Amino acid sequence: MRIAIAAALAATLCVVGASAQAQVEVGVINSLSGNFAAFGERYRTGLQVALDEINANGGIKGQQLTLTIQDDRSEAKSALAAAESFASKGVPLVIGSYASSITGPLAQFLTRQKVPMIVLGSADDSITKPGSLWVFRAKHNSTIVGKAYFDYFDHLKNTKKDVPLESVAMLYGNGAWPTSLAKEGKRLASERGYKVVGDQSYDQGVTDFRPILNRFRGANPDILYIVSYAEDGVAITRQMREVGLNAKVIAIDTSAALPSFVQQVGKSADYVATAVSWSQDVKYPGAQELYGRLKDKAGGEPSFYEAEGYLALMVAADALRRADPKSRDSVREALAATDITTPVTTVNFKSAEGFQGQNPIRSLILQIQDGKHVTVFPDDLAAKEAQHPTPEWSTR
Amino acid sequence: MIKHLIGLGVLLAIGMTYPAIFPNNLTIAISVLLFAGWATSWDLLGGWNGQVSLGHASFVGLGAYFVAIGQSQFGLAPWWTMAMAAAVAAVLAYFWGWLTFSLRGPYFSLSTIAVAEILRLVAINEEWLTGGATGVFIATLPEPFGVDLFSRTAQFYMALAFAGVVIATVIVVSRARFGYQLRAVREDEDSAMAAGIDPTATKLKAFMLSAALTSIGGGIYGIVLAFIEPHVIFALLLSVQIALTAIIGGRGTIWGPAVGALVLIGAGEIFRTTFAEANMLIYGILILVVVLFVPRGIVGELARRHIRRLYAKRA
Repeated sequence: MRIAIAAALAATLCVVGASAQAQVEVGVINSLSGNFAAFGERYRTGLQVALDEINANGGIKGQQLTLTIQDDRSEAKSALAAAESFASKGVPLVIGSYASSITGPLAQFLTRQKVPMIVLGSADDSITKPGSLWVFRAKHNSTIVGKAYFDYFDHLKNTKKDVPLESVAMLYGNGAWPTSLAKEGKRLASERGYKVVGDQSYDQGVTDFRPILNRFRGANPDILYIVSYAEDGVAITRQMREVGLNAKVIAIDTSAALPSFVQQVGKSADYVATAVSWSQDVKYPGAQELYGRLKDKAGGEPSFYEAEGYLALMVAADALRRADPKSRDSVREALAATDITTPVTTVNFKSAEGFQGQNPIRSLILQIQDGKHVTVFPDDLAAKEAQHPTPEWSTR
Repeated sequence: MIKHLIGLGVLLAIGMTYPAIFPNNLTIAISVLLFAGWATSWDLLGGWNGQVSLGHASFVGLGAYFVAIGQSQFGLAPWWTMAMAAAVAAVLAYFWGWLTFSLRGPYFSLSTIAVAEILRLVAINEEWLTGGATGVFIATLPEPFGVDLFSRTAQFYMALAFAGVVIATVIVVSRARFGYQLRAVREDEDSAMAAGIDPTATKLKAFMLSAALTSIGGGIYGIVLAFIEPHVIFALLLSVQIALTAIIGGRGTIWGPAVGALVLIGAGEIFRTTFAEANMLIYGILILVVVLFVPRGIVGELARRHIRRLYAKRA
């Protein structure tokens, strides 16, 4: 009996000893329960894939990298409690979170605590503009995405001069992301000489968009610029077909980027364009291979959310390798000096236009072709040509 | 009443030492104190007066927005803007109650949901003032006597003071003539009227007091978050959480809402860090168990048993 106890004790000590072996711990604040759990799950898959890769390649200067993931229940007050525990625990940096209503307070708090932070999912401009010395974002924001859409429109206009693209109608939810992307769209439209013939926001929870779409039909826009969350975008696309609202270019942000959009909308999804930070067919080295690993881990079709989770941890690991993980100042300096290429995108934090700690990431435009998301823009990263113009509903 | 006030004083004194003992768990303590304050304010109307509000998030949001906009656009210190928010909340409650309190039944509760929705839409659409859907940041705050209001310690004491003032208010009200009027109206409006109490005026006063107190806590919450988004701060979810905290703790009791805050927020935090994804499920089961087996709320049930024991002894 005594021997058994002694053995058990020894075993525990060994385990404790093993875990006390040098390792670098990164704090992650992610939405695993509550409203945003579906996204949080995808981000976690991406983080895990990155973690496996980093540790398979020798970790951080020979030390194992570990993730401590805390759930924020999709609300700011829990995220702040998690941030407080990470700040006092001495982690070199924190990665988090999805919604801007959570990430905004997090960024404020971690800046005051002087803890380097890498944004996981939030794309709100206000996180990095004016931003702070301690907050870094490798993924896009509304300024970058808005510009990607209008660069794409310009590109279509210049390649097919016989198809005039002059007017744009905008439809968007009244949440933080749709509003700011629509605002950026309006600014770019007037800057680049597009006429805004429709501008309509709707409250989340609306299901009947026909009155708006009918009004748009009267204005006969060349481009439809729509920013909607999942179900809204599906309803809008179906109802667009019903009322016969035709446009030469249909762009639907966020909603159309999800694999489920094609399943729910069916054939009507074809020709729809959407901006993302990553796609499996993008011409970055290793993208296809990353797609395979993300797919295995996720057990289903991965999206750019998994890729963004992967990206956040790869950026963190790169900085930690160049810094002293015990000094947050040194980690922050290393982050600021980041200059890497990952299978997701290139990353540096050379801030411009009032942004700070923002990666000037190149957003991709995907078009749904025969039920598949295909990268069509920018040219040097594209897998296929865009199908343009979108035919009228009556001929499809 | 003296007994309760002394108890409150002792609790506050113990609370003062919290930052020294748990310097790394202040955020959660601030949440508990704010919810204790909000739920106790809610209970003035919902428990003592029996008028269930499902729109108290509107006062939280009002307070938070006043502090944030006052600071970022007009350079006004938070204590001024909190006072303004309290006044505006009381005026809002006056008109809102004036429109709805002459109705009976669930009409008041329904209208409270609507008002919170209206405020949310105003915050989203009046962009020149509120920053619109993308929200508003608090970047700087004044430093009274060299105290950094952004530090969690300072925020903890603000929240502690807030909860203390609200509970003290309820203790005083519960023994005052006004407190008896509140209960009389809750039990039977017609009898109360027969006894010379104006039910509408009583409800209005309770609502105004409740609204003003809630908005002060909202101002502190705004400082804690330092970033406010209308969809979140005016959410029905927050209103329900406030009401639920008071109901679980015990409606119409002095300590019930505070106990409810401690149990719900405390349990939520423990579940969050130990059960990961399942935490909401367990949290939901906890609420279900309380509602099914302790319908009077935790403190309400304890008080009932205590009274029954007293009578049993006497008999």
